[in-house]
Amino acid sequence: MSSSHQDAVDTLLLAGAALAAGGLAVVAPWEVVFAATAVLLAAKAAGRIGPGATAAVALAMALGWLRAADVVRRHEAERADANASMGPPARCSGRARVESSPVRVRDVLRWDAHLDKVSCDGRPLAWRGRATLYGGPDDLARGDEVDVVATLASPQRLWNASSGDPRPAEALRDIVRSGGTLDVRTVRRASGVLSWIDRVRAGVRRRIDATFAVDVAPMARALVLGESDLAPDDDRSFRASGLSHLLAVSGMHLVLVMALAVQALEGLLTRVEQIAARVDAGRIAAAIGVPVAWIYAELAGAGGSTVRAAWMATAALLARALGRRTDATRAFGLSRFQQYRHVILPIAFRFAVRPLGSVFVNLVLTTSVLSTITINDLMSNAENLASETFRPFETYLVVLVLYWLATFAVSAVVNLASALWLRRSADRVAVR
Amino acid sequence: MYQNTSLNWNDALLLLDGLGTTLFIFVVSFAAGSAIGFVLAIIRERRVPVLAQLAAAYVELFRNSPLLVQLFLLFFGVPSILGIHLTPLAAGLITLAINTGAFMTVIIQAAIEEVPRGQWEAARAFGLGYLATMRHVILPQAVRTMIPPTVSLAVGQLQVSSLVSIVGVVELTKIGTNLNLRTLAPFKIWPIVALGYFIVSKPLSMLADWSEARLKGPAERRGIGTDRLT
Repeated sequence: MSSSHQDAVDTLLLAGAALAAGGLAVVAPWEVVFAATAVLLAAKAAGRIGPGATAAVALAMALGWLRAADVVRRHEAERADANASMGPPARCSGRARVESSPVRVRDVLRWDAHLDKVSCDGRPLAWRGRATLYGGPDDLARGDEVDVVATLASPQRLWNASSGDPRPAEALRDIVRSGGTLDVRTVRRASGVLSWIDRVRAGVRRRIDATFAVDVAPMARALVLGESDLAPDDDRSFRASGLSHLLAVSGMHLVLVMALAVQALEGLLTRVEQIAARVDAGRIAAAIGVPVAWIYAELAGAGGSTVRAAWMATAALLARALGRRTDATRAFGLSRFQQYRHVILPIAFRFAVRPLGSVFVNLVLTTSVLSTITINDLMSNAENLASETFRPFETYLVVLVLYWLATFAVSAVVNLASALWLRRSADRVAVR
Repeated sequence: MYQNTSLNWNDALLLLDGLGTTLFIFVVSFAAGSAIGFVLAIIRERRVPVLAQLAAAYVELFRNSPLLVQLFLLFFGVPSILGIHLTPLAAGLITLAINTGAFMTVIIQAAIEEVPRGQWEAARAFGLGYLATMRHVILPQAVRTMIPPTVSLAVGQLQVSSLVSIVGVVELTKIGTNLNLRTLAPFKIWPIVALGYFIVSKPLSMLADWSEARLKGPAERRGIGTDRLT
């Protein structure tokens, strides 16, 4: 029995979170299981989760765990397979497809590639898989197909007591070979948004190199492209001062830039009469903002926090573009009823209170009509009195004044109540 | 004897006749009320001594008391002390006109005061007199702000005009009452009567929307100065 006054946590949301958290169990099984148990027990004690949801959460966590373990196992198998078929470092040639945005590290380009038709030391291999390659032409872009000659080796594995198990992280990157290229020849240039972005990045990189002195160029690239290969001295100073985070193009960068851009676009569109008179310019701006956010995230190197921020911005901007209010109350986890109770009605009532008062006063007057269906009110008594005394004028004049007094009193009460209400609610809600 | 208890085509004609009377009462009383309102609004706006205070008392009293009481006061009360005879129709017309006048005074006065002070001063600077200023400068602008409240008042007055049936004016509601007594079919009669009021008040409010859009200045119609659409 879940208590009715508190809201159940959404089971689907909970299961999704559990699915993701289950994956972490590969890295730290005891910690994850302990934390999940604690959370479930606390939720149960608060009456916010039923037995069905508990079962769903446990199931989702187990699934996430199994899936992550399977991914790690398969990656290990691939790595072993690559080691077996290629053996020690060898000079290999093959066809490669660029799969990650090329990044400049020190003075060489680093990119992930899917290798195919590999032959090492003149011996063709059946092996195909992903490798990290260093070097190549500046304008490489995702989707390009290149003929490559490279020295391929198994990526180094650093594994000691303090580093923890590196296998899950390796499985996440899914790289089984790495090596420097000796020759890269473009076979087919890709066309598409991603490759376009990469070429723009390459162009920006070129301009930065041409514009800045050698010692500040890395800083400029860090700020614009998110490539954090600073000169060792600079890197050390930034780390020492705790400011390294400033250099990475982070989620906050993205959100600030997007908010400014969308606001500016909205301001611009609002000034175009033909648009502003017909549609909500803010929605158009938000709709345009979604792809722009992703393009910017990609341009800025698509780091982890940037991508997360792009997802969040997508959710917020889509809500705006679809005409939904991005809703602070939902973000605080208020239920529909709580929204109305604590937020919407208090604000709405501020607008309604005065018209409501005048309707109320008017109702006092309209009650007199009830006398015609023989309800014993002031009016029907007045009719009786008028016919008994034969003094209709005096009677009805007095009644007129009585009604006036009644409305006077009622409207005084209504005014006082609404003034009190408005003053009290002014502290609690800000009306746009 | 007349024993027909079912509705027939004659009744439809009767109801139409009643609707005509209702319309007549409404149009005449509303026109008279508007005239009263206009005069009193100007008196109050100019702050004519004594008259302005009397107008204020009148507005206050007649806006804040039931129309039924006003009707009875006029139909039963006034003849008894003045020794005159008022027909139900005359009493109904006068009451509705007075009642409308009280509300119209407020609407017109507010609309006139809404017009910026600079308009008065500019008109005066051009040498226009009070009436010319009113007619050529102030009223054309005030009419715009007047229209929405006036129409909702008109719709309301059309409906409360049904009250005059109580003192015996044979209009739509009275004919409804009579037919109801004869046929004992309230669920047939009253929806028809309600429909009668509806087909008058609906075009009225549509007319209001239309005229409101038309009376907007050309600049406003092009979308300049409208609120941001967010």
